[in-house]
Amino acid sequence: MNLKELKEKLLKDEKFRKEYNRYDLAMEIGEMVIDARVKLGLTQKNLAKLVGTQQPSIARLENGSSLPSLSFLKKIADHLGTYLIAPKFAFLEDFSNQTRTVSLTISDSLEISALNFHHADPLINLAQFTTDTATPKESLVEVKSIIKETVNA
Amino acid sequence: MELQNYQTPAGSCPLEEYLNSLNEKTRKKVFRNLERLEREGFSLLRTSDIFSKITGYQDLYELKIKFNKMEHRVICGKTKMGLYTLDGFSKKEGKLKQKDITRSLNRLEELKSRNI
Repeated sequence: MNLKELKEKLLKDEKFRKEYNRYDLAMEIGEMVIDARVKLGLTQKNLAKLVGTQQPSIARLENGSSLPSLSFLKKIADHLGTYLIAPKFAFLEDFSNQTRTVSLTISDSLEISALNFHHADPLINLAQFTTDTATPKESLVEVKSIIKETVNA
Repeated sequence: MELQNYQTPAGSCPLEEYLNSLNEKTRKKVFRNLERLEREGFSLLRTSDIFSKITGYQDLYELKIKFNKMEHRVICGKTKMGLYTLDGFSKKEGKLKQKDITRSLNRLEELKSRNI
């Protein structure tokens, strides 16, 4: 049984399906902080020292169990030499007719390559297109379907 | 990389049983990290601190997710067919117990003996 098949089984549990599909901002932020910290080669202790806090507060932030304050996130960004992009209310996002850039993972690129679409070089990891879909994930599905349609034409 | 899940000869899946034993929020957290492992593969070894090799064992790896004061661990094994999840359990911080490693190691050997 692969992970996709296991997911299908797990999502039959309605309570879990609701939880899985719920957008979890604290978890998204936690994963972003982990990625940033690891990318910079820092331990939780290093980052805590840099920001002037204790390691457990970095651990709590990364756990995604509660929402951090924006000022704490800004402080981390400042100390990492970057800046925080303002969050948005989802309903203010206008996705209609925008040209969006979507990141493809290597496996997505290989999947596209397997479709024998020679213009989709597996080494090129960005694709630009016009979309009216709502989320990057949906956009990626759309990229794949555009390519499939082109291949089948 | 496609992640496969070990099934016992009787047909049960240890990872599925483990995930079903967790509450929904923790199950989501662990499952999202399994999806991340499938997406990013062995590059997670250098880009994150949630996936690591189990020292002293050639083909055993561990996905370790800290959440709600517990460590949620999924043991994985590498075969010539790819990466398999072998076992899952939650514990407070600490080293893996030898019996947990042995159980996963036996499952990995069983897969290999089936030429997987």
